[in-house]
Order: sequence, then structure tokens, then C-alpha cells
Amino acid sequence: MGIDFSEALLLVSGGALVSSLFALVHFVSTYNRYNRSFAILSTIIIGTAAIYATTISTGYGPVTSMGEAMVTAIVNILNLLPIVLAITTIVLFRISLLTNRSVDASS
Amino acid sequence: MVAGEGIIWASLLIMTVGYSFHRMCPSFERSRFGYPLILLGLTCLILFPDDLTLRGSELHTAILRTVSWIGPFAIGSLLILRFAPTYGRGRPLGLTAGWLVIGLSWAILYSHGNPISLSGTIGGLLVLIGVLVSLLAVIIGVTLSARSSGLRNESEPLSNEEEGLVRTILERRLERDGHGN
Repeated sequence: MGIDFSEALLLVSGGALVSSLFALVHFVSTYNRYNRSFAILSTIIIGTAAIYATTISTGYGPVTSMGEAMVTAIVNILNLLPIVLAITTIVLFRISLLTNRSVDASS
Repeated sequence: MVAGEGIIWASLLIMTVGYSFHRMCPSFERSRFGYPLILLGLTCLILFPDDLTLRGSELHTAILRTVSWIGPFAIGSLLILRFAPTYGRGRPLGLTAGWLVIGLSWAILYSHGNPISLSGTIGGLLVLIGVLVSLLAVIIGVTLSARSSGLRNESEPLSNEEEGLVRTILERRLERDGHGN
């Protein structure tokens, strides 16, 4: 198996695009009068850079590239979840075998 | 944009907004709409997408497959954490039920084919790099914002009415503690 440069670029920029859009939606939906954060600007910059990278990678227009990159990113990030499942199962197995712990300041 | 695919993105957007609302302080009224919005988004995501393009279908299938084993796994994990003998006495029945449900989630995962592949893992790790880059940008933005804001003016002293209110609350609390409550 092999991943060429344009595919790797699409995956990295897709990940950046998904998370920056998530952050953008989060900032907008939780906006309140006490909010003075300029972090929204950094998400816009990263999102714009990611869209530019995806258009280079796919050769399509911005909207099509965005859709392509985000679908690829979400599908690939879901591919990692079975590994998380395996690690969590090991942790749960360890928890199941634990005997009673004393609850004191050092624990 | 195709309607079915539009519904998928709209559902994901609604779920993100719901999650953001849910994470807000309870003093904001919109925080109570968090769970209903998440449920609405999830329902739309599972039930409504139709006439999907190849790309939309790939996304929808991947999400549904993940939900089909993550659901039982989350329930099994909660059962195990609740009935494990970590700090108290363990309950074998609850623990066994938890492991059965987790076994079921593994069975569902394997029924979809090989769950862990090298190409899938490498692809996922590359996406993770992109996510971390974006996260780093947010952290830098928040740090710069916190540094540039500086100290605000001192708050105004309490008015006579507010002083009375605070005194009453404190006196009530102290009296209650004095009675051993």
C-alpha cells in the first residue's frame, strides 16, 4: 500500500478543515457578550489554508474540494476508532480485575 | 449540493451546535437545548438521508457502521465502570452483562469485515495530524487573546442592597451549620 503526496495533503488538510469548522461552529453557537476571544480568527485562517490545500490536492473547485476532503477525513478518522476500542477494552479488563482500593489521600 | 448529502451535513451541524450548547454554563438559557439538538441531529442523520451520491453514501455508511458498534460499547463500558470492584464491592452480574455487551460490539465490528487495516490507520493518523495543527492554531489564538486582554478595571463596590443580601445569605448558611446541618 502507498499514499502519494496529493492524497496525504488531502487527508491532512481534510483533518484541519473538519476541526476548524467544528471550532468555528462552536465559537459562533456559544458566542456571548463576555466572549473576547480572537481564537475564531485563527480557525478562519487555518480553515482557509486547508481549503486552498484541498483545491490544490484535488484540482476541483473550493466547494467540491471541501466536500471531498471532509468526507475523506471523517471516514479515515472513523477508521482509527477500532484501535481506540481495543485500547479501551484492555483498560476495562484491567479495571474488572482490580480488587478493592483504599480511598485515602495517597490514592 | 445533493439533498441527501445536504441532510447529512445539516445533521452533523445540528449535532455540533447541540454539543456546544450542552457544554455552555447552565446560566445560559440555550444550554438546555443541547441534548434535544443532539438527538434531533442523530435522528435526522440515521433516518432521513436518501438518494445519496457515492461520496455521501460512503460517509453515511461509515457513520452508521460506527454508531452500530459504538452504542453497545458505550453501554457495556458504563456497566463495567459501574459494577467494577474499583472502590467498593464488585457486582459480578452487572460486570458479566457489561462484558457481554462489549463482546457484542466486537462481534458487530468484525461482522463489517477487517476492522483494523494498515492503510486505514495511516490515513487516520494523517487526518489526526491535520486536526492537531488546527487545534494548535486555536490554542495559540486563545493564548494571544488572553495575553492581549490584560487586567480589567476593578469592579464596583457592592451597593447597600447587595451588602444586605450577601450578609443574609452568609448568616443563614452559618446558622444552618451551627445546627449541625
